[in-house]
Amino acid sequence: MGHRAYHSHIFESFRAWQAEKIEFQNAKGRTLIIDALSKDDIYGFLGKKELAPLGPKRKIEVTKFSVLDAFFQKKYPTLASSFAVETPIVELTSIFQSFFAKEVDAPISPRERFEILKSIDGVYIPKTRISVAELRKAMKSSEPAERTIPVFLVNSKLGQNHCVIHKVEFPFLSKYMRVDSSEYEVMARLQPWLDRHAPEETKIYSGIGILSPSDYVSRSPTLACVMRDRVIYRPCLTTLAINRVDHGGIDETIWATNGAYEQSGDDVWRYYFFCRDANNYAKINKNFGYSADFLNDIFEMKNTLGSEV
Amino acid sequence: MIAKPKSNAMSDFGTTSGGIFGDIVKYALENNFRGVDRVLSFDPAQINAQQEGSGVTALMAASGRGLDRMVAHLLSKADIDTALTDNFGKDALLHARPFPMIVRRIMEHRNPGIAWSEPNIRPV
Repeated sequence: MGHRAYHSHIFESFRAWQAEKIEFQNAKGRTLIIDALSKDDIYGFLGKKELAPLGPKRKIEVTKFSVLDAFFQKKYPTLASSFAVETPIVELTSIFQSFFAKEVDAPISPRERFEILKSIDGVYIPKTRISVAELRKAMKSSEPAERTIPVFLVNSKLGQNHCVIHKVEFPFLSKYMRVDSSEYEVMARLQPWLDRHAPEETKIYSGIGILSPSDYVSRSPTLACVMRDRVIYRPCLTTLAINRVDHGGIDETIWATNGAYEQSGDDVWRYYFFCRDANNYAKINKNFGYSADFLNDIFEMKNTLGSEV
Repeated sequence: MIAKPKSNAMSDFGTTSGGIFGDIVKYALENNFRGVDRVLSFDPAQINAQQEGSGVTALMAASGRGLDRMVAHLLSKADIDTALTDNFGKDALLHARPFPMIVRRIMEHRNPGIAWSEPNIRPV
């Protein structure tokens, strides 16, 4: 969708709400001036990179941005509730860029969006990457080392054009490793040190995943994840590039996913294995060194957190 | 328009965390028992202190991170208020929701002598 079309969409929505006698206010409680936002403003705000929000002669002004803010709070309340306290404009801009999708060549049809969301519902478990060398180095020098296993839990809800996403950082625990794996031995040996130097905390980020296709050839979607820490409300923005497998015939296409990359720009951070339900344990067991306890904890967490942001 | 979270509501009627003896919320997040005790030994009112900006207390922080032993430690302190809410209206129980063991601890602290069972799982 181009910036003009997006502008029309915003104003048609406002007209429909005003016809229902809904009054809008800005953050200071005054009447919202909807006409303050022009189509050039949208290009000026969103045609740029999120870290360089000053477009050509388009300074972000409160009167203009509050129109976008009010639009999003009314149109996508779940999305709005995922904003963090500290950097709402950065997050709002990320969301807009995902919707605005300036660089997208292949738009996703609503039906396809639904199919994709259904196919990516599950959990994304990273490959075990416990580095003994890194942990030993950290032990000697008291430097911080990575001591968590990040897992993505995706919950898609019927009829919504986005999914609820949770990133859970599980602590390193020996019980999470398969007994016959080399990681288990390492963890068991280092557990007293890990207990002393890192609390057994489980960090949870919750928010929204917005789909956009990343490229025309593979038509693999990218999930822009706008989340925040559930405890201290700090934002966490990341992108998951979903790997899809097309099992379809001519008449019908069935999408399935086989994993995802967490990426920042063109850099790949981490590879994740996709697991639809706990019945995939044999597959996980074959591919990775995680234990059944770990998988049970993940799916229990997926059920507990559900589609609550 | 949907209401924005309160910016710094706790400063009107409560204690703000952080100060010369350290931030109790930070210590709770770090699972640092010694730090928590040091802060409380100087200022016992810090047990219910809320972090500026979010309104999170030490109990909420430990509950939301699944720090079971820290939650037990905080609940053992005098005058701890388990009903306080943060700037988004969440109390310690809501923060603890993903961790049934911590929900149990808080419920049993609120209702002494009554054993807690997760509803719809086992008879209460």
